Amino acid sequence: MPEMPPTVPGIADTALTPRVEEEITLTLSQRQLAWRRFKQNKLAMASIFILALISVAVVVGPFFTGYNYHEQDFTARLEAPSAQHWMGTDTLGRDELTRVLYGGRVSIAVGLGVAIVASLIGTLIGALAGFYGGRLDNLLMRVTDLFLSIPFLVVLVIAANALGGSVLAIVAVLAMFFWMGDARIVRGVILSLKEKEFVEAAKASGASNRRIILSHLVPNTMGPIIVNTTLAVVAAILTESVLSFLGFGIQPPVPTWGNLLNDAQSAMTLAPWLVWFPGLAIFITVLCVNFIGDGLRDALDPQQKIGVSE
Amino acid sequence: MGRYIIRRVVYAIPVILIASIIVFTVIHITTPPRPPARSAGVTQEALAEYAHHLGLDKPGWQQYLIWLNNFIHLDWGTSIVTGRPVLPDIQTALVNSLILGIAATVVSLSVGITLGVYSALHQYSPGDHLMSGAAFMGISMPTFWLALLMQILFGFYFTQWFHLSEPMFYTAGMYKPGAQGESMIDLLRHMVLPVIVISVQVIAVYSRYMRASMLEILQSDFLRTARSKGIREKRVIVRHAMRNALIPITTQVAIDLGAIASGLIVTETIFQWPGMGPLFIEAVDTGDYPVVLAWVMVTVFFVIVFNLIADILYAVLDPRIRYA
Amino acid sequence: MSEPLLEIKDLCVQFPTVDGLVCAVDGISLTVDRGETLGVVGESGSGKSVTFLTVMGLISDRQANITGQVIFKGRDLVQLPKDDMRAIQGNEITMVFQDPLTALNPVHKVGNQIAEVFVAHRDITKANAFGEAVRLLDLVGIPKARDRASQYPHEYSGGMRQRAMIAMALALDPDLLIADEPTTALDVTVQAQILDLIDRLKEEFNAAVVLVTHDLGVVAEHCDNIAVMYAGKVVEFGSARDIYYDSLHPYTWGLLGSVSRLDKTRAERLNPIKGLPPSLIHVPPGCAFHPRCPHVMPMCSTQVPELLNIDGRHASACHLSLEEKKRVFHGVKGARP
Repeated sequence: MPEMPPTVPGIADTALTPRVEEEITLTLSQRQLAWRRFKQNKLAMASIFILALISVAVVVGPFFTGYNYHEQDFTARLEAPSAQHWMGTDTLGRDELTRVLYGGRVSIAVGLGVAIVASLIGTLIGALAGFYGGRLDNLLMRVTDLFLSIPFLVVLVIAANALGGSVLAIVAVLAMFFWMGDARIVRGVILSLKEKEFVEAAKASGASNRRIILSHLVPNTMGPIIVNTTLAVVAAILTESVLSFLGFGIQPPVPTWGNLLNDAQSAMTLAPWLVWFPGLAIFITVLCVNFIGDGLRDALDPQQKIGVSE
Repeated sequence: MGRYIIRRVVYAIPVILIASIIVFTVIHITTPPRPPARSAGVTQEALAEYAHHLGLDKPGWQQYLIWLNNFIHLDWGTSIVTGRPVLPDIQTALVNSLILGIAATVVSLSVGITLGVYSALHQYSPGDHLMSGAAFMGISMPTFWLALLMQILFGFYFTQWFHLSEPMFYTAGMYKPGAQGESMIDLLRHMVLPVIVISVQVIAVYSRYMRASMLEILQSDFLRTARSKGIREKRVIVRHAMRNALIPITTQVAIDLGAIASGLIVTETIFQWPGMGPLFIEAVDTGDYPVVLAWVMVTVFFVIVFNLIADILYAVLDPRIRYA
Repeated sequence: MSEPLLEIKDLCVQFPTVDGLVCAVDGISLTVDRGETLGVVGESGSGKSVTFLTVMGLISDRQANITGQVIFKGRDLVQLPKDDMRAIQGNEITMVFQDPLTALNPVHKVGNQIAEVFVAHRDITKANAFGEAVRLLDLVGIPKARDRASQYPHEYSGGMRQRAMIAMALALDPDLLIADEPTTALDVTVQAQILDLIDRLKEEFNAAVVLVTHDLGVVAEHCDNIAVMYAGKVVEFGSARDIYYDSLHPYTWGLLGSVSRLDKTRAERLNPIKGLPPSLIHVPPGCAFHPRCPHVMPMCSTQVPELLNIDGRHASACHLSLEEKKRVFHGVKGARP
């Protein structure tokens, strides 16, 4: 069951790939057009605004709450939200608001980090596979197929268990799995572009392979990659929180939204609000990124309205 | 067609073998079998004796082959932690997970496909926008959070507000304690919440998938041909449009079924459902090597087999690819 | 003089789009008699397909604003309730589409797709309907029809698929068969075969045929009358002989001049019509063709020319006087006096 979020080769594949062939070349004016279309998407614009708010809050917020994220106060354990503690306190009397804000730093950073690293690796490998084709391509695709058929969370749990719970380790582990979606998409795009005439023209004018890849093919994959990266951020944030929730991700006392929920679980009946806040934070962040990703996809790759055929 | 199936099956066998090698190696490295330590005064000789008993002093490839041989003959060893044979435990856990997974699949498919088709047929209507919004929320919601909220809601708030002696829908376990497998109603009452939690996200995914697939098919020329023949619109939608639009989602369902064995970890853990999930977590936590190994092998096998089924299903449904 | 089978009166079809109102069909009047073959010629965007999709009832009033009348056997199809229209579709009026690969459902057997027409309109068992389908496939010249009927569209060649479409269209002995660019997606050699097939079957089934195409060469041999369309209007109408040997509209002249012909000498080049087809949202004022017309006069940009009968049924929509038209046409290189 896809209990996990539809990771990179899920919805991205079906919605994008049939159209990729058509709407590839982004000239400058088309880029401006795309930006204009994006601006029209109110949900996406609202999401950017909210995400900006959240980002500011998690970066700057912890300095203003007056508490530290590991400051324990046993006289004020499991308190309900109040004037002194806007989100209440947890089992060790730590201020929940500070912990949620700080946790946000970690969760979002991990999400972004994983998505970016995965995109870089994936684009590189996908470009190589698509461009050079042949045995290399076959091998890479077999490898990715194999990895993709392995139960996702399972491997992550095992790997995370083995490598420990530092932020860096988790980012590495997650990136190890997320690069494959990008690689697949980039490879697909490059395969379809390779046959087109402008590549022939570039070759005929003496451009080196590397130049062809870098200046002609890769820019055209930007669209699908950007959309895919937003999906990867979503998946990374959710995955990290699941891992941390299960106890295999980033270990306390470093807070992430995931392990905050783990803490909350033990005190669930006494302090149910502790479940609300971190979860809500994940939910809203992910929702916003999803809306942005959807907006990007619509802007970069608009559906043709059914018009008159003649 | 027959040749296509045979080719696919034959191709799957080396994949399973390679997977088993990878699984064995990875587990061996990351979850090294530890003797039940924690007792003071464990002597080196006893440890060495135990290691020898587990066959750990043999070279890697030999261990692999011995294990593989045992595995095929359904001797999956005994748990380091509980001392019980592994196979029956995994069997029970698997059945429990399948109960939950299949129920959730049935619910998700029926609701998801209906919503998706409706959305596609009424594109851009308020209903469509509402459903798209709901689908987004469903996809964005972390399942474990939803599970916790459900537990709080049903286990805590509802009982308080409605003054119930016990929750309407149970929040933990599979049956009432001590009442194993006696009452279907009991089982159902325990199933409701986990199935809802799982289904929320799956419905969101399936309905979007179906909507996208249906929208694409609705632009097809052959629908125009069908209408020009004077066929009732309902038949055009069902026999012509849906028959094509369902193909990708059917194969996706087959793949998802294969993932049941390993995909319900979080939900089962939170609801204390005795399925494959908690079994795995426990085993990894305690370094229970034989269990982890057998568990991963079983789930990988499941995934590969169902991917194979998905491939074959695709060929059955879409005649164009039978000769690929 | 018997009533015409199909009479289109002042048909207008407009599509609301994000960019504006597209006037695909802008006041068309045409008739088709029983047993006649009418050719409808025009570029992409001329409105020729939309006209007949509307006749067929395939353009709903949710998609477009439709005004005017389409009178078929005494009934106005535009006003007809859905169920009544459905009884006519596939039964009395049928259509063959341009690209047979996409026009056939890839997951159903060809025989079943043909049989479906029988099941929809007649009281007949599925088995019998399938048998009829086999008979029809044989009739249109598909070898081993029984085996072929159990195959899928992707297993047929392009020409065979089009034959199957024709079989499907003729299944219930329709009065009117509309062929929308039936040969455009086919090889040149196959094109001739398909057109001959349509001719032959038309006789056998005693059906009227409307041949919609952009290719003047296609209509030459196979049509009794020809309507030339431009920007949603009929600009010239006449018998095949009229159009080829006595054409009276600058657009038709342009089309004729741009057709490659075996009797042209090497020195005579193809003359494409200069300019681009007009936008259907911002149709040029007056005569829609005036921006591209080599014989344009001041009044052409202000007054819309009406389709006027010049000689019997031969009609033209152009401000040039009859003498001027004849002078230009017979002076044009490549045209026969």
